[in-house]
Amino acid sequence: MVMHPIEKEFVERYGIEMPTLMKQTVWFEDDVVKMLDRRKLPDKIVYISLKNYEEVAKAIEDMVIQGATSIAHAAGYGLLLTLAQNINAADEKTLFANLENAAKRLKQTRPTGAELIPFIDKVLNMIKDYVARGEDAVAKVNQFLVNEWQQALKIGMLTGQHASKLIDDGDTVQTHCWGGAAVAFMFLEAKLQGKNVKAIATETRPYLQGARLTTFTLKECGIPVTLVTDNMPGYLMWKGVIKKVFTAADRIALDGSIANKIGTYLYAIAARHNGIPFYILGYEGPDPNTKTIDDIPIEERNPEEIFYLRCVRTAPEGINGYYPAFDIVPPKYIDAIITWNGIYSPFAIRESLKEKIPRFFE
Amino acid sequence: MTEENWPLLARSAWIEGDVLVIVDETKLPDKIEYIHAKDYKDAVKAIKEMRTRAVGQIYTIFNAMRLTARKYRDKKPEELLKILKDAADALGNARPTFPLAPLAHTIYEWAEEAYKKGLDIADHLEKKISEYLKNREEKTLMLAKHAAELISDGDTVLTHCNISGILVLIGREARAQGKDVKFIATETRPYLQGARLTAWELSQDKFPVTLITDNAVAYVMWKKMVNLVIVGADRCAINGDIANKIGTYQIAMAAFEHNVPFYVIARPDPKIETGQDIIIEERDPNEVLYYRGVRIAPEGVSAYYPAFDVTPAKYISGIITPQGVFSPRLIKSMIKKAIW
Repeated sequence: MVMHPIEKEFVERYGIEMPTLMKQTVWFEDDVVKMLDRRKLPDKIVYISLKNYEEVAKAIEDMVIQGATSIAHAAGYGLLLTLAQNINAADEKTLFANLENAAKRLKQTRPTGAELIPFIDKVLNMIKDYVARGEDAVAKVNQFLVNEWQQALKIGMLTGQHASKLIDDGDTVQTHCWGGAAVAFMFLEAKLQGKNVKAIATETRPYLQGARLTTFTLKECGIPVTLVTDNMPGYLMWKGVIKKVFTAADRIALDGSIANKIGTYLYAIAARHNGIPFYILGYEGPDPNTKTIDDIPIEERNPEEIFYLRCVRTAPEGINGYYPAFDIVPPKYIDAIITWNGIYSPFAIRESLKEKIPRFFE
Repeated sequence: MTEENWPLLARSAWIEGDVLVIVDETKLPDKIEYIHAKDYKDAVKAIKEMRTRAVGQIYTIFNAMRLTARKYRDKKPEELLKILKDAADALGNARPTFPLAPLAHTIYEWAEEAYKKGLDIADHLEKKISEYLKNREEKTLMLAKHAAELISDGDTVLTHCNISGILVLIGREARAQGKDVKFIATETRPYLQGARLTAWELSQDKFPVTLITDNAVAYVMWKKMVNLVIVGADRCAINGDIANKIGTYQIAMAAFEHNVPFYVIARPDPKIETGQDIIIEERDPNEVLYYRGVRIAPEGVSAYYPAFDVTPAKYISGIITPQGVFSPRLIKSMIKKAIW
């Protein structure tokens, strides 16, 4: 297995192997898309093979993969797969028609993350350019997607480095859901700074990303982590156990409001009432096309999903369920949004866009 | 309200012939199963294994004492008293963190009182227990009426955990007052009392009930889907602070932020000054790490399981009692009136 530059940097800096969820969890190999099945974690590390874009779209919808950036990358691989399958067999017209169909289907998978649609358009246009120029589109797009994963990790690392400055020695930090690479980097950086830090992970019903992914990854990073149910953070703030809350965001609007996993808003309120800082790991910053809180769509998923806990039925028959997958935190509850280029007041988050993000891997 | 349609969880233990029948709450909602206790020792076992809880424990203790008195009524009074003392001790200590002992000993004192007055112990106990439970149920109905008056036609009530049939009674009272009422139940991890008991008992009574995960509470309030919150309380201090199932405090803060009234059904305890004095039971972390035997987190990860939390009085719009709905700030001055 080749070691990519970002992996080398990681091992050198932190002296540990890169955690499972931060390695490539989706890639192109032997004419299929390989994807880590996050639903099977932490019991099993299983990679599934997806044979066409429909299977990729289904995998995104069924939460085989999660996290706004990872979802966008997975959709990119759906297009790459469609490209590889049609590049020799079909004429250009059929090729582009199939790619357009794939793009359309992949865009319809998950609505809340801001990155998905622009990313699909970007990859689609890139493919068209390479084909028009007669270049090896498959190899080029594949390299682009590998670089995107590395770029995303680098963004996560920079975000985590800024965030770690907000952590004090001896802190217990609450997270919610799995906030992606920046969460791991934040704790690892704090540790490098000689700070003693502990994590509290909420289990994050119904999919238990906190119990399964956050605890799993922080354990791989050697960070002490305690699992609690989603109804416990308020009490732990009241008791003075939790000192800070950090979550990620699936989308940040220009007005400083954010959308993240359902429950985030509840913890923001609880933190405010207990005088505890509430921070957002904002990676690349706000989505320039999402102006205000009203422009954030909230995905409502099938209520059946909340009637089960790891495939065991928990609820009686004959009742209704309601499953909003995300909620929105208005800026007044957010103490700061931390992006790749610094720490911002949510009300000033648009300032972060003034600096262009460098390409770290070409 | 007729005898037979009293909500199952509001009276989940009774005597049939010479056995004590206890609803096995651990089997709900998959099936309604009963434990047939032949004597008080079987009843102690059912309480210890948490097959009955909350109001079910109270009915189990009363009926176990009643059954014991009936069974040994032909013994000499001194011997009967001794047996009843043993029963009260065993039942009272069935769960160390739950204050069942005062209740069990009150019943024993009735037996002692009968003995001192030269009355038939079994008959006297029968009479006192019937009176007590009848009074308790009347009080419960009174508080359900007061709670129902807080509900407007078309309202949605959000609740947490399970209040042993009282919410069903409140819904029925609201219906009787000509009001449509809907409910949102939080699932209440880790034991899922909301999913298994509350959603179940409300749907049995044909109330529209929607289940949400515990983390969706603030969002449904933000979406204006909730008109008021009604929860129970395991403890209520005289300054108006309450302790209830873990998660209640978060719900109270979310309600406060959204101007949603937050009501608590509580029995104020004059011996508790403030919420800080309430001891919070911490249970085995494995109960968070496993669900029905399935581990949900990797090995080597620890967990923490406080079973209750404290909601300060400032978040509480009213304490619901049989005598009416009181501001939590007034509990101290009205403590005598508010006790039930």
